[in-house]
Amino acid sequence: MNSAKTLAKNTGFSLAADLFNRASNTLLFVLVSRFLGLEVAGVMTLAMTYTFIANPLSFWGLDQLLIREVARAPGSVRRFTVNFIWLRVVLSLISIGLLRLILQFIVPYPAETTRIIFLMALSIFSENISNICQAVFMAHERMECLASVGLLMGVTKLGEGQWP
Amino acid sequence: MALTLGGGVEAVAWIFVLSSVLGMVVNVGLMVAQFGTLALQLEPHFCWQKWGWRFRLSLAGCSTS
Repeated sequence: MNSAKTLAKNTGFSLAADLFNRASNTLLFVLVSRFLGLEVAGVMTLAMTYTFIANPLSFWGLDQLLIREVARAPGSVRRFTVNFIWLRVVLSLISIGLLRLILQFIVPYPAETTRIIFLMALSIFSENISNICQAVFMAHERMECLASVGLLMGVTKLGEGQWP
Repeated sequence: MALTLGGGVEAVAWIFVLSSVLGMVVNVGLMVAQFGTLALQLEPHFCWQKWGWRFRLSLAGCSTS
């Protein structure tokens, strides 16, 4: 496959993965605000904002580093992946802990709002691990894996919202 | 529907958390399937260097100089 085709394929799958994720989030928010009201949608937005702020704090650019190094030397994938996953486990626990402290002592919210923010923040852990796996796929130019998981997550998210 | 039957805000938060966990499981599974087994071992070690003990990941190993 020539460079132009590879570029088009990779860009297409990468775009699809991103679109699946954004579309499912948007659709879920539309459903939330429609069926559960603006107050609930507001709490969800607040919780997601805190999660989105805390996520990069635990990312530390390790995914970019992994992509660069593994793309250069594919044989080093296991060593980078194992070490970075362990680092991410520690960093995400620190992030979640810091967020908990901030919510407890610096920016107090009503008890239910705090609980929801903390609940959503638990996803930082799994997002961190997923992000490392996605970096491995990117380093090997396996963008179809990103798109497949993005699609699966989007469908699951919407499916869970419809679960009786 | 969970949303229409008043699953509430907590139900929606769980939706995000569970789909994120599922994403992690699938990602790790795919990665292991594509690129071999994931050795579940931590490889950091402490190296004595002229600046003292320092934590280093074994990405490049310890310098012996």
